[in-house]
Amino acid sequence: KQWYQRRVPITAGDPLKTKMGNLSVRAFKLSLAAFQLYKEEKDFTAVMLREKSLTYENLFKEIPVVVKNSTLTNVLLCELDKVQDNTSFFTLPTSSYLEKSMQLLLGGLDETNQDLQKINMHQRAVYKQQNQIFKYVQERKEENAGREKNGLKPLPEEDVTKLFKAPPPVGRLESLLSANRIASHCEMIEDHVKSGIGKLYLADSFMS
Amino acid sequence: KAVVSTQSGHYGRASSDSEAETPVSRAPVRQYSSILEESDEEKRVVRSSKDKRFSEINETIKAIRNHKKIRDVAKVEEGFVALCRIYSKSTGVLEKNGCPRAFIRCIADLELYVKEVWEDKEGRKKLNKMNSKALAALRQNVRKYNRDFVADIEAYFKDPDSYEEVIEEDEDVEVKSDDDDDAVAPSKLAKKPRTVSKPAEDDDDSDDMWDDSEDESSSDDDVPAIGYTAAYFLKKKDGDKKDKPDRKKKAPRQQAPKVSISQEDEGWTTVSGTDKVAKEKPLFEEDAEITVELVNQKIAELSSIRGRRGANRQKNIETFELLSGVCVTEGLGIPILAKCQYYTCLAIFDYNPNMAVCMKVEIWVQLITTLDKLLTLLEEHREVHFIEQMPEEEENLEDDTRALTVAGSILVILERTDDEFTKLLRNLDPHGTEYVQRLSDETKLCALILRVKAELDHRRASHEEMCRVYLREIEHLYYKVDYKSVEIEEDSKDKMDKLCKYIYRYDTTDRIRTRAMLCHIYHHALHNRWAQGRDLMLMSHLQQSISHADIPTKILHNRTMVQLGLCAFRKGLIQHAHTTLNEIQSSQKSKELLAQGLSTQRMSERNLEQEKIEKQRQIPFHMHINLELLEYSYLTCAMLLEVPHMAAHQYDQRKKLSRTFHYQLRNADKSPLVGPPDSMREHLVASAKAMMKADWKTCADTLLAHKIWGLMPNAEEVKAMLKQKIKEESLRTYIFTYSACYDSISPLVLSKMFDLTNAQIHATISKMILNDELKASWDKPTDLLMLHRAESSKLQSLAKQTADKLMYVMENTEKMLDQRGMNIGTTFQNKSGSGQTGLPWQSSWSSNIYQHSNKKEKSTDCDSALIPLL
Repeated sequence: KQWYQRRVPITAGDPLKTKMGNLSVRAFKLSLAAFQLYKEEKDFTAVMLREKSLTYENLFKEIPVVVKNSTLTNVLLCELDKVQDNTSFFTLPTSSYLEKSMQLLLGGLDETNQDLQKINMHQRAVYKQQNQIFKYVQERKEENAGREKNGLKPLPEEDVTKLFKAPPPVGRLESLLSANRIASHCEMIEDHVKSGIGKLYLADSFMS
Repeated sequence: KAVVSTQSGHYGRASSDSEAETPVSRAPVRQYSSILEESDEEKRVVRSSKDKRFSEINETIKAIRNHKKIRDVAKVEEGFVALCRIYSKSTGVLEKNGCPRAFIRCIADLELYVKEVWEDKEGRKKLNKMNSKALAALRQNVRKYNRDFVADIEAYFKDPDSYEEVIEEDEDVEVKSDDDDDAVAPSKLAKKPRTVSKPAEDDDDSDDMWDDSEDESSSDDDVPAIGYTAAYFLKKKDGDKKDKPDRKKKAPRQQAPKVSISQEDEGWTTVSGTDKVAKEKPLFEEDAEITVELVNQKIAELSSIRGRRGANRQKNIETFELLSGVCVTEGLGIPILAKCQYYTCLAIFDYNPNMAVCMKVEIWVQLITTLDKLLTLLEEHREVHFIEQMPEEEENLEDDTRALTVAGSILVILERTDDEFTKLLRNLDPHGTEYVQRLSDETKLCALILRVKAELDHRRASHEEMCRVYLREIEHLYYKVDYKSVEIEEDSKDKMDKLCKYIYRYDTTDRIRTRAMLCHIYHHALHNRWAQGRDLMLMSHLQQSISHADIPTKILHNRTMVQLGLCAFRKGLIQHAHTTLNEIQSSQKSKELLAQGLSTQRMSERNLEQEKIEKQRQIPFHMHINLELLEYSYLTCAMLLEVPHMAAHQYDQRKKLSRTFHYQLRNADKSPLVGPPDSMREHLVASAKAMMKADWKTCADTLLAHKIWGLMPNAEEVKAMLKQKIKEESLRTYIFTYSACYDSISPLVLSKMFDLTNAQIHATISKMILNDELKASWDKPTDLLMLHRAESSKLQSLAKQTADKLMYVMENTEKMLDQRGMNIGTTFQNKSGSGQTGLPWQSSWSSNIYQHSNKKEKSTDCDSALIPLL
């Protein structure tokens, strides 16, 4: 109950990366716009998203995380610094991390694909209905014209929205989230590989 | 009232002039019933079809006359239509005997009457709306209809009196012809005082019963094709008054003691047809000569009230039994005795008016014993023949010079008995002792079938009949496991072969052959003769034609397929077993498909009616195939095939061999806590998990620990086979999963790991290499398996998949944008103003998507850059 009344930040850790020696903790909270939308509507439709100009990029707001070590730990780290040999500089980033990230990315892509299909379906339904409405209005107009010629009272122009119920709009929260997920995975992969590529080029130039 | 009205007929015959219509209408009723009209209901049934038709016509004519008198034109019209219908129905009979004069007279009179009413304009105006409408219709109909009878009608108009006279004559003749019946009648009358003097209680009881049924039957009687009208009764009342003095006249003639009417009723009771038992005994006691005809007549009389509402079915059975008893004591000959017993069986079948309800156990026992008696009789007297499709009139029950024949078919009785047996078992609780008791009757039934078969064989029955009786025998044989086949010389296989081959050869109806074949295959499969069963199944092309078969046959087909699959499983032919069982198991409807109960989850999908129908299809419990065992076998097959398959195609999950298996796995993944396996499915999932880790020992132990394997015939062999299979498949899984980690593997290590001989390892891996599942080769000098790195690494295949998926995303996005363009082009621009509101999110969304894809393209870029590097 609490979490949608206040913007509570969440922290996310990356166990794979941490295991390899790089502590990876990030914290997020809902962006103000997203929070308001959520509080008011609880239903993320396309119209709403446009009004708030909300995209996957500004759905969350990242909060910087400051890690503070105790003095004792700092001492230990300094000690370790001396012990550490520098050969590990050339090791390439491991593939298991990449594999995992890729798998997660694939999952995100699957979701996006499904969402896209849903949207496509919805669009087709809307399109079909628009055609129907158009046809109906046209027919009614013709009929009325015919009646007027015959000196009859024209049939009333009924409210079209009552006759045709609009298909329910597709919820966009899921697709936003999965887009966000893809983006963050891409980012992670990029980060991870960046250093490796640099090292490879370095080695390459050494060789030549 | 019933008594009174009945006598009017009798009286009317004497004074035909005063009441013209009564005698005419009653005239052709050539029964001794003319004396006792009240038992008309019962007696009519004894008439031949001709008489029946005639009396129908007469009834209708009478009704028309009555309505004519009260000017109820609507009713007259109704009656006319009914008359036409009856006439057209009975043309076959009437052609032989000529058109009934009464009929001609009626339609001619009707024409006159219509004319008269039509011309009477004032009267016509007074008619209510319905009647005037009916009048117009009637006028037209009569005109049209009478055209066909112009000649007859003219003849009638010329000389109407002659028609009357002729009818009168007819009547006289009939009275004479009834003389022999009349001879019986006086005897009945004579005995009346005696019955009255019997102990009163007896009579009272029977009397009550009689009264009830009489009311019913007489009221039925009064409604011929046309409903009641007040006037109809009114008319009768008139008749009543006239009748009253007449009855007084009649009473002395009968020489009945002058008692109250109720006592007189009692007198009638004894003779009347309804209370058979009360009537039978005195009838036969009195009548010294119980002839075959008399008994036969009785049978016909009783059998033709079959299925009527008022009939007392329990009494019927008793009566037939009594009759057969009489036949024995009187020595009336075998044929009539056989006939009595035959009809007893029929009466037993009739005991339940509803086909869906099973008969009571006592009745069933009675049925079996009666059938047994009948068969014994027939075995002893082979000269008596039952002939189906023979009109009863042509029966020969006495004449020794010709062949003795009885209409009917023991085969039909046998088949119905068999069906009733199935029904009986279906309705019993399969876990009760009663079920076992009834099941023991099957031996009796089988013996009966065999005897009928022998009888038919002896009597040189047609091939068709033989096929039918053979099929019955087969259906009692095919599902039984033949444990003694080794000891007994002629085992069930030979028997099945013999029976089925006869049917294959001689049967002309497709159904019997199909069923026999399915039973044959089932039997093969049950006895582990897989190859024979499969060959028969494939050669017969049953699988193509089965969709046209009736539902019970389809069910048999399903059961046969399942049995065949189980047979393949026992034989270790996992692939075959899987494909055979997959169809049944993947639908989740195995219960319905095998007719072994209704699955509860689908309760909501069917209504009561369907449920009833499905319940009627159920197979008795003792023939059930164990569904748990079936499912476990199927899932084991699926596991053995699917786990290595999954290991081989780790990254594309599209190819699935068994959905059911995957469903189980996914379900298990969902459960929050995995304890030690308990249920059948948990066992399976646990062993599948172990197999994925190539831990064959745990896998085999968990899988085979379940006690359900005890239900499998030769369980030990099957278990040993399964263990072997598990080892091999685990080896395959291991190699698929971990081959990337090896450059070379020693088969000796594998042999130790999987407890397989070197040769077996060699065979399994060679097969994998041959099937292109594994890129590797044997290095003979070092005796090692050398693995070649031909396939891409995990990361590479993932990258490929990502590229594929991205393509999909792109396609979808483009499709969406295309559609939007189309929308704008057609609909929205036509609607001024509202065009933009139709798709308000258009701009932001599309830019959004493009950003998306850009981002993704970027990521693919780095992926593709990575591939050569790694």
